[in-house]
Amino acid sequence: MTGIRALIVDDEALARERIRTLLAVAPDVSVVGECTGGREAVEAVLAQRPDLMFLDVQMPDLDGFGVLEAVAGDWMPAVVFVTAYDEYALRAFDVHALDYVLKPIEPDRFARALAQVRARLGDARDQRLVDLLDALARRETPLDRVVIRTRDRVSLLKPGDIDWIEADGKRVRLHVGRETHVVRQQLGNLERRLAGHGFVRVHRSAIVNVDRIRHLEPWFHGEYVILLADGTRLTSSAAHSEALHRMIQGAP
Amino acid sequence: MRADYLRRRARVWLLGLLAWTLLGLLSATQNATWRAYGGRPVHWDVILPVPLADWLTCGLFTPGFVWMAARFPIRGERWWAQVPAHLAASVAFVLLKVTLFAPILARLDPSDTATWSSVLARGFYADLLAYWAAVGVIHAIMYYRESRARQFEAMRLDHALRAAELENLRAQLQPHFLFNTLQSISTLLHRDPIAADRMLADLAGLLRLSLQHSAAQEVPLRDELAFLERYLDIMRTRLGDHVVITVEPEPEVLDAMVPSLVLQPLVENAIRHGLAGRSEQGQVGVRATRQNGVLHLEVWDDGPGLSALSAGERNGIGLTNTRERLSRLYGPKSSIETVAMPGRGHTVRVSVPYRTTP
Repeated sequence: MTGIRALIVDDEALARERIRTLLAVAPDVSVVGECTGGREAVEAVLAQRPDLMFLDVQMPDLDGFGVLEAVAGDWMPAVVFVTAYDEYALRAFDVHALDYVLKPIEPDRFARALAQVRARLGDARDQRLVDLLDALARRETPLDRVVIRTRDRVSLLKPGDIDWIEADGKRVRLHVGRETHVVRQQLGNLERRLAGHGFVRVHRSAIVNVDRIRHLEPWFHGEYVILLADGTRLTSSAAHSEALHRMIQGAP
Repeated sequence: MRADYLRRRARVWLLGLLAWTLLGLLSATQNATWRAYGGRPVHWDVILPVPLADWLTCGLFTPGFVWMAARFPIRGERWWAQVPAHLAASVAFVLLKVTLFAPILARLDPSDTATWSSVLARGFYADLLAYWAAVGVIHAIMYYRESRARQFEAMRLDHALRAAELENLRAQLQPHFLFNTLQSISTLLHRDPIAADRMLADLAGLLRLSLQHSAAQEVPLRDELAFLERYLDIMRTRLGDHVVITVEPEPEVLDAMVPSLVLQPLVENAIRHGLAGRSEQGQVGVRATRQNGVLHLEVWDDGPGLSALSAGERNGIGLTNTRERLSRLYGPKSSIETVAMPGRGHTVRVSVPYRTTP
């Protein structure tokens, strides 16, 4: 038995230290890394492929849920969530019967969570985490950061930086200035979660940042030709023109 | 809005018309009763129109009465100073009213050989009384309305005050802050009991002061900074190298009075937003300066400014509360403004009158 390789993710050094201290009584668990933020955590999970992750829910750059969404599909370790106080998160954990500990962490509770992790570690795919991610994808909270993964690094993109988004099979292409990033996401899901950031669906397979629209030319049958600031031309479909029209009219 | 206003106006006019008509009818009934009692014939066709016309002529002057009552309200300490204006107005009213009414009376009751002077002589005191009664009733209505509005405003203010106090307390006892601090203490206990001890004392001090807070609305800046220092001690220990926090008051403003607990929520906001979305070190600072009799308290951070967060998010509930509190304490002499430079940080500046005694 090679033991459990664990990653500790928390933006506060003392909180990470607390988990390390508590792990002193669990010789089968070895800490392979510590991360001070969500972006770092995504990189570490992909690079180290740990068996277990102690994951803080609230972090300034990318929260615990964002980390899970970003690594899902590549490598999903067992997760023990760590949270100070977050009603939404606690509800989600209870609904999916996930392991979590509350700060300040009680040693007994911590040991119990660890015991459950050991019992489940054989499962290659933790259905509870998959369910949690499904629930997160359906939530209506706006997306603060879009996680972009290239081969060896992870970067975070603010929604406002995106010019437009194009569907491409099961992925989407994010057009950001001269760059294009491919992200495994569904356009419909992105559309819902970017609606609060001034994005509008113009076509079955395109979402546009309204700020980037230079002008609209009426085309046939209620369609528009959309000229973006970077010179891109898109044609809206009649089915989506109304939303577009409403958005433009409503703009100050 | 406008339609609503017009409807309200129309209702006021209708009520006025009804009141004067009612007076006319009462007066006619009185006249009829008097005649019947004396065994004289009661001719309704004469008895009804004359008093009705008499009172409605008075009613024509209602806007004038309202204007007089509003312009020369008989109230307050110098209520008697308004009386001469009303005396003059009441006499003027009687003269004008008789001028209007005399020809009407002559037409309505040909048997009455009414002349201007005879009508004046007959009705002078009754009309004078009508003026004073009308102005009195209008005063009563105005009083009633004002007291209702005052009551409503008092209730609203009271509610706002309670909400702000509660919010302040709640902000102080942010569950996140509390539990994360407890977590830090439980960590330090094992490694550095002295540091754990100090953090516990800081936390206890913060809790005690925030519970006492409602007692004192204003405290010297010196005390406010001492309180802030306890909070900053905890945050520095917790965040380590993540954030550098500097407090730089001009030494001569340390005795200035400031609203108690005004700085901590602003600093907490600055730490939260100054660090949002970054993993490198952030900076937060507090400055206090005096300029032309005004004390400026500034809390700045070098975070993403407004580029990443909308103004609404940054100005959230904490700032709304501070604004409400400032305006209660200092009225228009205080202000709170935020300056954001996208990508180069964010500053909140609170300005209050500079005073050194409570």
